[in-house]
Amino acid sequence: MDGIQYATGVVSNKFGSLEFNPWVQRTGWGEHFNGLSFSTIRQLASRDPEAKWPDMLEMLV
Amino acid sequence: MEAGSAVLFEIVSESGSRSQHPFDVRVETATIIRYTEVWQRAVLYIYRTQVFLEDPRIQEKFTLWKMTPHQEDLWQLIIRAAGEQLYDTLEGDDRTALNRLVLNFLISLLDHQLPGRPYESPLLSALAGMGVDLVHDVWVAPVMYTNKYSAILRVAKYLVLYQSQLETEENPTQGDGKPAPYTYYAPAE
Repeated sequence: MDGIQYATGVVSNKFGSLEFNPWVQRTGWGEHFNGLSFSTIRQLASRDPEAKWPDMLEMLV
Repeated sequence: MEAGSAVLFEIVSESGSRSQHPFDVRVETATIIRYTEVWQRAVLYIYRTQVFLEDPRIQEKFTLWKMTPHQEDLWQLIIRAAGEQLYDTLEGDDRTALNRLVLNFLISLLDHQLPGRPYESPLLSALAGMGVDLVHDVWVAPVMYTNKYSAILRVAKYLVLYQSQLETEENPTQGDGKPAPYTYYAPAE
C-alpha cells in the first residue's frame, strides 16, 4: 500500500493494525503531500543525515 | 546562562495575557535529547526538500512550502558559511558565526506569518512529514504524534531564551543609554 490518498484517514494503532481516524483528514497532510509516497516522505523526514535520499523526480510523474 | 526574568515570563505568555509563572527551564536530559532529535529531523527535512525544490522542473509542478525572504537570506548565508566543511572541523569564530546564523534561521522558522496555506511554513511542513509512521505506510495516531509538537515548542522556548541572551550580551544598553529590557540583574547577596 503506497497510495497516500488511500491512507489519508488511516493510522496505525498500538497493535500495528490500521484504523480509520478523521484527525488525519483534518490535518490536511494528505493534501499537502499529494503526489508523494509514504516512503519518500519518510526519507525526507529521516533523522539520519546519511539516510538514502528519495528520488524526488517521482514528483514529476 | 543568565536570562532576564522578563523574558522568562514572556516566553510562556499567551497572546494578550501575561503568565503568572516564569518559564521553568529544568528538563530531564533524556527528554531534551529526544526533543532535540525532533528539531534535527525538521531541519534535515527542510534541507532535503530545499535541495529538490531548487530544481526548476520540480518548482513548476510542486510547492511543498516557501521560505520567507528573511529565511531565504539566512539559508544562503548558512550554506555559504558551512561550505563543504564538516561542522566538527570548524573552529573559533567560524563555528561561532555559523552557530549564530543557524540560531537566527531557527528563530525565523518560528516567526513565519501565515496569510495563506499553513503548510507554506517549512517548519509546519516538516512537522507534517514527521506524521508518517516509521514502519507502516500510514500516518501515525495522534497519541503517537503530539509529542512532536511538545518537542518543537519546548525547544523553541529555549531557542528564544538563548537568542534573547545573546542579544542582551551583544547590545547591553539601548540607544537612550537605558539597559536593554531583558537585561538580567542578579539580586544583591
